[in-house]
Amino acid sequence: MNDSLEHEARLRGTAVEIAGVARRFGSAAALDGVSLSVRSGEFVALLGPSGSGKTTLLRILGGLDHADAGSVMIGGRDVVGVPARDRGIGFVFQNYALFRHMDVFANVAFGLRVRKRGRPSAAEIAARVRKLLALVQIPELERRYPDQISGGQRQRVALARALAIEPSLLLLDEPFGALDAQVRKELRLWLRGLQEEVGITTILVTHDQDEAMEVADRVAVMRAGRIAQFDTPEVLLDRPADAFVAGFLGESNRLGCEVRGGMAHFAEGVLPPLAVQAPEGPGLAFIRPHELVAQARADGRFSVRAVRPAGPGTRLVVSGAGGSFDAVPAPDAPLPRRGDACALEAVGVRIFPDRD
Amino acid sequence: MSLALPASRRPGHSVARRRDALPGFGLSLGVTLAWLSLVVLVPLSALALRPWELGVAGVLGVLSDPRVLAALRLSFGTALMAALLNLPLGLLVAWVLVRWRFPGRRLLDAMVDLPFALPTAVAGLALTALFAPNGWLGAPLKAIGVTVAYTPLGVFVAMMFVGVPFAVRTVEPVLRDLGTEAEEAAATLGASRAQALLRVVLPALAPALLTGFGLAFARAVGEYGSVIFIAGNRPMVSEIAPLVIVQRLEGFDYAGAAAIGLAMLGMSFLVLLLTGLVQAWLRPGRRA
Amino acid sequence: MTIGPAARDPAVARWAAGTLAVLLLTMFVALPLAAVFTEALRRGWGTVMEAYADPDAKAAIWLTLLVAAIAVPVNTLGGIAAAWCVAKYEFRGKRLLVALIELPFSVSPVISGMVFVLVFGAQGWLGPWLQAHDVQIVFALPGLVLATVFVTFPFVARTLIPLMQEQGRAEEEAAATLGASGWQSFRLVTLPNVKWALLSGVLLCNARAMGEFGAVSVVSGHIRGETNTMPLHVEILYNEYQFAAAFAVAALLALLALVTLCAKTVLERISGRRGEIA
Repeated sequence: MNDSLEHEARLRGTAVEIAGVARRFGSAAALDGVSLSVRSGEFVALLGPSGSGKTTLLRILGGLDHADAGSVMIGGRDVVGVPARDRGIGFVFQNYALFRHMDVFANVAFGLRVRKRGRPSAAEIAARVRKLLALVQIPELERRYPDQISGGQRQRVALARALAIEPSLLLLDEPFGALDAQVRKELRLWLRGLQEEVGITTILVTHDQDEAMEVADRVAVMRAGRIAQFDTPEVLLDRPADAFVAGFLGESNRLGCEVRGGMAHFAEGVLPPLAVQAPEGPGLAFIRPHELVAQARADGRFSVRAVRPAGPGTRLVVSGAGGSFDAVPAPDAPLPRRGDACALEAVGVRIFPDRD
Repeated sequence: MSLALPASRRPGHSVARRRDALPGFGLSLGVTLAWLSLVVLVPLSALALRPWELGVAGVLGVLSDPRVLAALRLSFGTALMAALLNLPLGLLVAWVLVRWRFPGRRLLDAMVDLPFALPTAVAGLALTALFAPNGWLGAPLKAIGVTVAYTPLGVFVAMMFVGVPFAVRTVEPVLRDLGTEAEEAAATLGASRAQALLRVVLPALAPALLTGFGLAFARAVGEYGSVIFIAGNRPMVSEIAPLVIVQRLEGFDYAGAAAIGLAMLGMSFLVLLLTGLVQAWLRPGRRA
Repeated sequence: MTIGPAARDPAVARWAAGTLAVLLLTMFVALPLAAVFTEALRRGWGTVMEAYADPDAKAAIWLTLLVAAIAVPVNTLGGIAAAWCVAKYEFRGKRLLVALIELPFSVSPVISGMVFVLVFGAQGWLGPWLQAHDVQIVFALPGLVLATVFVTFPFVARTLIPLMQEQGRAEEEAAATLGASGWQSFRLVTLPNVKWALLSGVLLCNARAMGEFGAVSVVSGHIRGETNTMPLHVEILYNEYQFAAAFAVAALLALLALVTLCAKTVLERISGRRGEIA
């Protein structure tokens, strides 16, 4: 991140500051000491497999669940013990949770109509609702009921409803989970554009790494109730903090190895030893498919099982030495065919100490 | 009773005030428990406790009274038979309602609920009028030598009547959810229609059938209003157990009445427990 | 449901089964109902009207309405509270609570009435104390109300619980994040979502409350003009061989059942259309 951006972020301040948050359900720890700091106006994704605690964290932020320990500050205010209705946070639910007996207009107007103090007049509410429906590009659906509109449209209504209370923070729980692939892709780019337009700090929960990498400024990768790494998508892919992040993000071949004298020796000599910068001792190596080059060789100990065109290049599935690997063909050689023998060579690798 | 509070309501660490995002748990549970205790649990505890004023021997004495025994036998025996016969009838009606579209289906559907909605005294009166020796059905039956009214057979008819909705309504939703895919799969695998029904459909419906049996039985065994008009209430012959209870109460023999009531309740729960056990045994994967 | 040829029964089987089902239901359900109205009208409209004009009959109708007017609201409030805590929260003992709520359905009506006699009757637990303080519960209105509340106890809770469980708590949570108080959320979100099912449950509860026989028979004492509800009045008339009058009052009760059933069917269709699955 360059200096001017960092400066700007400092000016706008921190929107969310979570420290040491823990939450148990019975004997299982859903969150195990989570700390996270989100800047004002930032778009952050909480990414992780199911059961990693990401939704629990989001619900604690929204006041729908409580932390057993730790502190949660939103906009500089300690919100522990503040009920959801007093937090002024926009929450978009996984299945939208639209009020099924209210039309789209009434859904969006709800947050304004239930206000005890400073409730806008009916005319003001109508104007605000129409403006929001225009913003989410569904002005024509005002009088429809939730069961009369499509999934993508419901998503937009849910967003407009959450934005109606002019929240300081927008929380989205798997907002695209219920949509089909095409709509999902369109909608997430649109959402990112909208977020920039409104300038609202946004936290999104997802288990889809493409989604997280595409829309978020920074991604918090969660595992078993902890944040494994919190950084920009580029850093996460290039410099994963641990074996979990390396294995979870993107495709990679995973191999056991032993680091001795600055060289990685692979189990059973699957690959030729490789010079690496990694702690000495047993390790786990992650090699991306484009870093694993297959060279057709009659005496190679691997054989090509599948050849798949992948955009400009070609991807191979290669097996041998008791494993199956995703690789690419050597650039300056003729394309291998299924059944050809070949040898493998790694040109890049990330190695993490194997603690087992 | 062990209605412990949920973890989130117990006083906890001071770090966070533990509260549910939805308010009203304490209030609603409090109202529910108060309502339940006052109207149901406290009065029922009287039923559980009062018989023992007679001592164990006294209770056994009440229950071994020939008239009481005859009444219990009539109530339970007839209720079991009625519930059993309600099973195929319920399945048939449910099948017709779920699988076919025909004019008058809605009417048939509404008719199923009538025994449930009709006040029992009215049902009793109606059945008696119908099956009396000069009634619409009683007269032809009499001609072939069958007497229904004022006999144990009348008790049986009344008990079947009250069981119909339970037998139908428990099977119907399961049959609807089942769809026809499994049957079609069976057909593609070479099963005959009868095989498909016996091996695919019936096992899937078995738990619901058992539930329907249990509900129809529980309703029939305790039934009073529908039965007493048509039963004739001759001691040792067509007198049902609830009527014996009423008579004991009218004679201020509270403990004796409670003893019979407790025995009825215990036996009913035993039957329900047994159906539950059979259900558990029928569950796929449970069979060793 | 569209049924493909593989799962279609032969036409003969369909006709046979259909005819059998219709016949059995007609015999068991339609004929008894028809018998009530026929018997009631056997001596003409005059007798029917006379039966309703009888002071004891009027008192019975009035008492029936009064008992239902107390018992139904009590069970509606209790049922809503029970459905709310069972459907919206997780807590230990929930299954037991649900089982206890449904318990009155599997208790004989006579036993349901008896338990109140055992507590409040002359030789009941509280009998002597009540007598000393001149409070009448059994053989009086309070006893009738208690017995009626007992037997109609599960109706509202039972109709609401599955529906509210299926609807989950996401909408209430959404309302909370939008600033609604608990009461606002209940009034604006929860209640409208279940209103047709609630109405249906209340109607069933009411029908049973007005038609209950066994339980109130035990606690009523059968004092003419004072503690006889309509179903009890029917029994007395019948035992006194006033058949026409008995069937006339019975017809009124049967009419109530029919109206309730129609209303329930209509409500289920409405709620089905509105996304409530009753």
